[in-house]
Amino acid sequence: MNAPLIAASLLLNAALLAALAARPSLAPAGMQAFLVRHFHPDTPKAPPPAAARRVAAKPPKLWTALHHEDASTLIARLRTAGFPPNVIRALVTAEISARYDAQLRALQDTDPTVPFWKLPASYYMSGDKRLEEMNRLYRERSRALRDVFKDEFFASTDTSAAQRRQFGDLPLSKIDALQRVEDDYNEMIAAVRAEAKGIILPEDREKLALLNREKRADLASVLTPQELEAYELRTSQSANMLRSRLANFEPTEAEFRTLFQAQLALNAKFQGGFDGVDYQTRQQYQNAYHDQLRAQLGDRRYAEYVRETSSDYQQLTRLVQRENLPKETPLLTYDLRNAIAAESNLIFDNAALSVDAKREALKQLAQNARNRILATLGPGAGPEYVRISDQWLTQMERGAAVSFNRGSAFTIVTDQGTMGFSGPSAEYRRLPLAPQPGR
Amino acid sequence: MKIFPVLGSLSLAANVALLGVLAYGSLQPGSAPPPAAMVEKPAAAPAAAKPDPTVDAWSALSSGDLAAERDRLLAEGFPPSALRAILAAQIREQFAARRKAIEAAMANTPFWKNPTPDPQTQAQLRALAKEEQKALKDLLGGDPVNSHAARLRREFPELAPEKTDQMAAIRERYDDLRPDIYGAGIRSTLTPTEREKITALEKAMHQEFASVLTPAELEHYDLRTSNTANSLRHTLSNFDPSEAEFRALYRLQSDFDEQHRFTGGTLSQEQQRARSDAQRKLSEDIAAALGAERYADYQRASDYNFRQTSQLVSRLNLPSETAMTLYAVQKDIEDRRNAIYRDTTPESRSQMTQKITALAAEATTRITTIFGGNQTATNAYKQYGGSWLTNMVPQPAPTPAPGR
Repeated sequence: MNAPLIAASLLLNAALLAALAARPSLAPAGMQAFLVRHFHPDTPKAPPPAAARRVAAKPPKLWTALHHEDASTLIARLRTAGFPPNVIRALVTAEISARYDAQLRALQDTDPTVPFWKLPASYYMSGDKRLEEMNRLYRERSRALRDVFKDEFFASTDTSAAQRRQFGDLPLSKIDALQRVEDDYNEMIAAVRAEAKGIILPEDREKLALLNREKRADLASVLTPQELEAYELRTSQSANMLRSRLANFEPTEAEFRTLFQAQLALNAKFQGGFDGVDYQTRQQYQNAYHDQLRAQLGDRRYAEYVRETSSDYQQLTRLVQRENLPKETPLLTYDLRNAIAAESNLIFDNAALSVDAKREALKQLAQNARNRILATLGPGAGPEYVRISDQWLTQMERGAAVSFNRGSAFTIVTDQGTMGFSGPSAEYRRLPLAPQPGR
Repeated sequence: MKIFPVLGSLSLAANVALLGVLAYGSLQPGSAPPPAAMVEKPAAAPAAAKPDPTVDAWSALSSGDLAAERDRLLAEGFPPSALRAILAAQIREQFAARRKAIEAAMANTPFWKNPTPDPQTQAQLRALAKEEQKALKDLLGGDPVNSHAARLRREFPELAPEKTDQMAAIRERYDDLRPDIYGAGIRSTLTPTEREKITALEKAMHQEFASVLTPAELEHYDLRTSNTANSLRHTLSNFDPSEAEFRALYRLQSDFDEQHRFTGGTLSQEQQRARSDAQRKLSEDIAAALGAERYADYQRASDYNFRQTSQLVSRLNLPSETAMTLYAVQKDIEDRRNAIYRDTTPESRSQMTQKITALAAEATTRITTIFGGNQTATNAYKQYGGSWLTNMVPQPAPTPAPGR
């Protein structure tokens, strides 16, 4: 081994030792304490980690480190920090909602600085700017939340289960596309409504119809025809209204589809609501609608439809449940009511009776009817159902024949929302007025 | 000399060892920064070398004990809204299995069935929600933003906090009682007794408010929040009442509502008559309180048709007086129609339908003229403000078909 090589090697050793002595951090952790102890005797001992946090500059609190104005960044940080999906969803929802809360509260709360006689009404009528603004804020918030939670990471939460109920078995990509179509058109439809200020003129109706056609075309580009039909049956306003109204009727799937189509046809006839349609025209549509239902459902199911959608029968059912009466009692009472009504028409049409005799017979029938209702329903529910029936019983006592042959519920879904027209459940034929005493 | 080969070999071995030490030291991952480095130049340490305090922070925060977690979150600077959201999510999760069990029957409801749960299930879900709210309230106290108390504090800042708390507690207690009366029903299916119970509940709640507030505070509260006041505000949106007028109308209307507020359902003949008499008396009292001129303004402003007409006229960019002109036609025609109805002579009775039909035709002509012959505007009026016109022709007597 030659001398220069040895000298170079020794110099390298010296340089490496000097470097380790000067910078103990270059050495593995196990040697650092040794080097510090021997080459840096004045250095204070390393404090334990907990104490180190106290001695060192106070680190930022966790919230400061995690929080970010941008929801996606906040979500990424929370995920890195190991927060579970449901907690992230709740936290980010609260963060995003807080951006809208002040504006929503300003619209919903009454302003304490406005005197009571100058306050606006707390009800929101069609065309109310407060309502338009609130709806805009809600739409914006929903969209923001949907955007930030679209990641598969959040897919197993409750909201996703709700989506499944709404969208059936559609893949997530289609659900996302549908929601975007809905968002876009809801925004455009809201703009037309805001411009209309509660007064829908023919040109507004045309715009709304066009938007609805375009929306359907866009939905059809995302879904197969079968999927589109299923989507409308699950989510449309008409379907929701029908589900609620037909709850006690318990339709089969085929019946629901039939009633849904009938409802769509009816809606098309009343796009502007009932207000511009005179009474007779409305009656004609109502009769035609019920005749159509009878033909499609069959007599037996139509009779059940009429019964189960009548508020009179629903009240009767509630009374019977409250009094713990036998299950068949509502039906018995309902049939009794119809039998009495049929009897009143027989009296009215009886050519052998004079008007006075008819009036007396109808009066007797009504009084008898009160007793029969009381006997059927007993002392708890009986008097209350007599109160509910007071109107037709009183009319009968005064000489009218009564009929309950047609469903009273007549509801439409228009471009201005759902409108119910609860026609009279009873129809009357009245005898001529009795002469007044002394006249 | 033999020393050189030995020295050389040792030196070369030392070279290798020292280089190895340096290389190992620099490659060692996550090694704690040496104390010297920390003391010498803490600021110079590269950022990437700092441990990330957020990594796995959740496992350090959560322990299953929500009270301890609340304290840790507070110590870590989480604001109250974040704290509430995080704890509420976990409480909800704790109740998830029970909720799922209750909702199990609803989960697979096909699209043609109503998904609304039955009354028993609704009651179970309400009880569960209440338990959940209590758990959160026990941890964090009442919601400072979204609660009855918070809203009362915002809307009635002059009320003492203990009073708003008491009012909120009363309201919450009554809110809990209401669903037991409603069950699964909607207002239209409530029986008369149930509607009376709801009305009695509202009155009892108001009496409890009266025990918390001074008479002046209660009056102020009612004038701002009661159904009567709100209904008046809606009716008077085009009337611009003075304070004295509003107070007078409120007093008369609340006396009427006390006895005759319509709560749904069908009124008996006797109730209808009593209500109709009271309504007539109310109108007379309002006329006396306002004076003839303001009463005429009030009548017009409270007419639904006039409110709709005003909206339509504004939308069509017509002068606001157009609404007044249309209303004048409406009043004239309605007065003449009522005169026809009042005339009970046999001759008039026999011609009634003809007369009313002729009157309706005259009304249509006058309305169309006001709109300058614009048929679109006339048709729009029939929908917005002109329902009196579309329903003017007498309705024919129904012809029942008993066999249907």
